[in-house]
Amino acid sequence: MMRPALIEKIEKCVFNRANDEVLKVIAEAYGLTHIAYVGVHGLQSYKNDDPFSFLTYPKEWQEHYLLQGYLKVDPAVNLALNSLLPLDWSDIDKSIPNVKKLFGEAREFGIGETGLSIPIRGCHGELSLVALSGNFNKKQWVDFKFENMADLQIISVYLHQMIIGSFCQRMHPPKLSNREIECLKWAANGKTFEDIADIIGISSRTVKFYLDTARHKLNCLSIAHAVARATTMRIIPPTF
Amino acid sequence: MIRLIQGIMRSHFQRDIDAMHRNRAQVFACRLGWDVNVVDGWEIDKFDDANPLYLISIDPLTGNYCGSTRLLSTTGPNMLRDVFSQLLPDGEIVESATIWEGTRFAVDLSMETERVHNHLNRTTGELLCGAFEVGLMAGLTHIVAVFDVRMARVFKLARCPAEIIGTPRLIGKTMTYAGFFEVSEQMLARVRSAIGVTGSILESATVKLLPFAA
Repeated sequence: MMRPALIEKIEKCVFNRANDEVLKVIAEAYGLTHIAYVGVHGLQSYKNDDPFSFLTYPKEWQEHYLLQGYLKVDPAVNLALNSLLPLDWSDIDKSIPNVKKLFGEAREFGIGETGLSIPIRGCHGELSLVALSGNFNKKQWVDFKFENMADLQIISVYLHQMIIGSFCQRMHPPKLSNREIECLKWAANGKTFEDIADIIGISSRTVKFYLDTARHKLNCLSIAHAVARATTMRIIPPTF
Repeated sequence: MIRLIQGIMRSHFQRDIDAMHRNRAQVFACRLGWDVNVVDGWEIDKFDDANPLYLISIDPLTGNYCGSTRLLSTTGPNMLRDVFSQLLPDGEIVESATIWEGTRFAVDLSMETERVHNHLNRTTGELLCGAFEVGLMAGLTHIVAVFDVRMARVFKLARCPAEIIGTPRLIGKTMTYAGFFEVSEQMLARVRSAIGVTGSILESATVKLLPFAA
């Protein structure tokens, strides 16, 4: 579960529209060297100034990558966009010369020894991904993935919704179901999943499920975050 | 044994994919009487074009297909939202980065798979194990599914009862439900014990993927 301090930092960057800063904050919190968000709808239309990429990579690497036409070669992008499972870069076959060259050079530019591409599917059928990398040894990397995969999935979709939202300029209030609102209300009142389950007569597992879908609709990073946002947005009353 | 096949890689597994679509036609068109699209013996729909992840149960001795299911993200196109929304109350949408959807759960009953604990079909148990393993790998909290009353009983036999959400409806010949499973180590352990498996059910080689030639 994500720490409130991190969520607060992320929200502050988002409020200031500092998208690149958000990535740095997340990278730092998880001990990563770099994070990249790439939203691609058709690779042909990709240009240097394409607004659908946000990266913490050094400028020199970005320029080199584009100049070499690596976007068409890079399995961490191409394969991941068409995949459902997160793609561990160590599972990529690097026997193809271009791919080998790409990963060799990425290492020289300090992108990170280990990496992961998390595919994102948007509700309008759009595809994007979050690529993250760091310097972990084998054991650390296994532990890192095990401990953080759920967080990273949530962060990836959060970034996607944030970026898509800031381009679409439409922030209409999300439509929550009655059940979701009810669960949020009681959670705001300090009730546990079990308490809420007893009060509204559904299982505690279902309460947890609805709080997670509510969290997603409010584009929040944790249930506490969702409760706070639902209160600010007057979806639930401030004092209940 | 469960073979993982990403949608983009389906052409590399023609034999498995062919058997899966035929089995799905048998299960969903013939047995359940759902209004599904069958072309040349294949049941296939637009979600097969949305790069799903297929879980295919393979007999490790013969290499034969035994059963399959299909996973999709709930943040992208998915059946519960786009096809089965009548199973949920008005305005209720299941969508989250940590919830995937399992659909087209099909078991080939002509294969003589062993019956394990409580007459549970081994293939069914393998597919469930596979789904939970994949869920843990991907950091999921839940898997939602649409299933009929008979499958609901089977899930109980496999020691992983689904939590029903929304309103069951008659689709084709059967009562159909929307429900979810919690993805957790405990859940995986329960299903494993139901089919007497201790380690991973996944075919290790298919976790690795080949980059396609650019």
